[in-house]
Amino acid sequence: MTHLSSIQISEWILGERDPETERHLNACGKCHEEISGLQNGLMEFKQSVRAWSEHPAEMRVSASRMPLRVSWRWAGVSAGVTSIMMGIIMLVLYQDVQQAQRESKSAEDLLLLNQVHAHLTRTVPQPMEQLMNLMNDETGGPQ
Amino acid sequence: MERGVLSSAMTATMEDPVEELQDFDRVVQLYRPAVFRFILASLRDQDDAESLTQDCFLKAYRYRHQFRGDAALKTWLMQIAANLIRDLTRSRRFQFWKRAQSTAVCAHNLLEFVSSRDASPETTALVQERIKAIWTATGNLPEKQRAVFLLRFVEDMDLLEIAAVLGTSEGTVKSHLFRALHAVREQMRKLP
Repeated sequence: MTHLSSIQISEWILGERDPETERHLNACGKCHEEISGLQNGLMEFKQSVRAWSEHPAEMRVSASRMPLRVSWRWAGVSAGVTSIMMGIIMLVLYQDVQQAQRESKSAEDLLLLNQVHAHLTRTVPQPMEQLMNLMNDETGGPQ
Repeated sequence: MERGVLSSAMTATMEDPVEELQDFDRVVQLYRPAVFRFILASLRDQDDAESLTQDCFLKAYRYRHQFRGDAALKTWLMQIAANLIRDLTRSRRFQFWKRAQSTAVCAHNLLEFVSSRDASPETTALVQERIKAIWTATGNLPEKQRAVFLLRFVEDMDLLEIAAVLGTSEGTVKSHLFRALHAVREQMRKLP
């Protein structure tokens, strides 16, 4: 049996079908297998090239977005760190203010206590206190 | 989404090509994948393919007023791409880099995208061998034969469209295809 020529195979692959080639392909397993293998190979080649050409496009997009993602991430991290720092500073300032308020209040309290104590320990009315002091100085103090 | 793009591509092909060219953003969106794919498969270099695809659309935009609509827009864009590929492959710079480039690495890249879903390891290996054989054979083809082969078997263009892209006759395209197919068959026969 004479197998298909290179031209006949190419014509069949290119879609030019003639009855004689078709009859031969139905009868000859070798030519049928060769044409099937070639057709499958061409189809697989097309799919691979298409997939390959689409892949770099995705990579390009992701690559171009990557620095943006990284910067967003860093922006998030720095925003978080800044917030924490601000919080600590605010807390320290708040504690300082509270401490100052507490100290001021205790000073006021102490002053008031002293005033109360002075009032309670008074032996003569307030207008006479200066006179009593003079008398204490001359007599060497009350006995 | 792909269906949307496909349907818009089909609608676009039915439109008047000159009118279609008015919305250049849409032209780029519709035809960029095919142009990039053709250039990438021809040059096998992603950077060059990127750069030439940009050049192709830049040139198309610059000379859009000269497009008379005799051919489909895709044919015209592929014609520009084919000319750019020819110019680059003839430049000394490209000859140097092409020599330095390893074909095995390229084939390896391509094989990563072999669809092997639900296939046995043996079938996947067979598919990979076939693709590798075609890749090697097309790599050794003369520039015009390779362009004809890729336009026919990757871009599914008919002989008349290919003839328009390459500025040659249908008979010449057929002759290039026969030779290219013969080379591919010879390479595939070496497979175990």
